[in-house]
Amino acid sequence: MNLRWATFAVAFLFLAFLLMFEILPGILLVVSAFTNKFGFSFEHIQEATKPLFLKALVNSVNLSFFTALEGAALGTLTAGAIWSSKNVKVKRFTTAISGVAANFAGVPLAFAFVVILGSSGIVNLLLERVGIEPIDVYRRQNLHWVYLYFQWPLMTVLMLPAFNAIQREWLEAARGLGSSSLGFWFKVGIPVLLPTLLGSMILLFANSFGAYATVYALSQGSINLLPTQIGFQVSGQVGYDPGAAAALSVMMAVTLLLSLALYRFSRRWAAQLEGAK
Amino acid sequence: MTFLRRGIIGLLLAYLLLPILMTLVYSLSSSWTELVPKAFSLEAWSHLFGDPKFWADGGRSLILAFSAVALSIFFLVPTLFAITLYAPKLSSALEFFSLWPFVFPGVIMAVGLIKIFSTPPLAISGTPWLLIPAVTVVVMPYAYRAVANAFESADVRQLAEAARSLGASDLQILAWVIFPTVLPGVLSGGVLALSAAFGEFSLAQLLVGSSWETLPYYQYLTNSQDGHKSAAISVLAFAIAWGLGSFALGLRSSDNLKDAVTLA
Repeated sequence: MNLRWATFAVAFLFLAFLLMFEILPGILLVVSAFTNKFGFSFEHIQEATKPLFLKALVNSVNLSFFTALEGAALGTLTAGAIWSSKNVKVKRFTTAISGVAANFAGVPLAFAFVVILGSSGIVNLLLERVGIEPIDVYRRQNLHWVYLYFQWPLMTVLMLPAFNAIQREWLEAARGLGSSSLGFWFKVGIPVLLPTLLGSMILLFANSFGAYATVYALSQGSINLLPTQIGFQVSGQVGYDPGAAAALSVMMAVTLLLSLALYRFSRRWAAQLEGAK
Repeated sequence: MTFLRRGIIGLLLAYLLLPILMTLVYSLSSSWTELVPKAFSLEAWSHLFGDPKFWADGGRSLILAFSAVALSIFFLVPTLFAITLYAPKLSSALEFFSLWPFVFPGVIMAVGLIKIFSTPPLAISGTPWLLIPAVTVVVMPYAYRAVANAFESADVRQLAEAARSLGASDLQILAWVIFPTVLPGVLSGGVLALSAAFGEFSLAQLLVGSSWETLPYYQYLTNSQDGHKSAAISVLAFAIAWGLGSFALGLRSSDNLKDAVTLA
């Protein structure tokens, strides 16, 4: 057997598979967003900019930006705490559970939040008891509490390697040279972390922007976001308009593509810092 | 500082564990409308495990998850091998197509797939024959990351050259040198992809729905019927994710295997 040709044969099979189930559907999506029965047209794009859909886009951007910010702040602090902790067991456990929770989205997560923040949710009962207004998990404004469940640990695991690149001896050396802890973080720590921090925030934004399962399971789509609108337009429960679905999908893909480009830029920046070290 | 450090770690652990623990308690209670549950029972769990549909849907989820993982590993390992050894220039193309779901997540993949596969001659929409490849594409980033890292950190090129200079045949190189070296990475990527495929909902709902029902869809239908039973499924899903996640993490820490190999 010639290994070179055998492995290349599989690689070509892979390419055929990708063409069929990934590349062609992607191309067709873009084509159908920009055509109607008669040929090239902006008809669907125009439809996709009607107020309901624009609102969905704005809502999605808002939610994703806000949860990215929230997750980034909490996750960076948590990663720093894990980095400086000397308790190996706590470190291991926190890292492990963060890795699991970062990927724990969808139907099971949605229902766990119904249990605590639903109309008779246990945390809500508690809040009512102490006189705080309960958090209605079915409202868009409160969705960020659910998304934080995966955004916070995701940021934590994304930031850990960057923190680990900071040698504890640097901090000690800086202190020995008379710098304060705060001074160290401003002059050395934050510049080293910054590219990873921004890059990870972009990943968090994208992670929330494309998320469909959690919000759909929670509200059957009554929360107006870009992914839920796309789901509606293809599955036909409320409206059925595959053309609009394609146009909205292109809107989403372009946003994600931009995020990916920014992310790559931030990685290159981080690599440059790494080289300068 | 210590106080703040403990505080934020404690806060994260509480935020991640309390919803699951409360959901567990909810699944074990027969009524919980006051601050403390009134009565406990195993009814929800026995209903769940006594439902033949749960086993049927769970079985389909397993078929789906294992097929998707088997497909991605079958494609990725030889392709990475071929690219690393014979065509390193193509590696960025492979990365691009493996990370494609980042730009085209499940919901919008479904829009394109329905267009192609709902009309003859390729009318496989609504069947596992479309769901399995679609889920394979969506979980590819998980598998790709781990497998590509394994190839990179093992320095497969150098290993292959060393083995060849000692007179090993290509097949021997693959079976006795490359495969054992990248195995931990392949397994950990496979397990992560398995976990993701097992819980996949967007494609399951939009492409097949109730015509080939999987576990996440089963829970989605249960949500409105029996809250306690749905709570039990949430806990089960978390336990499975936790089990698979720890397994993958355990494999990753055996990455130091590669040092042993390069030293030998």
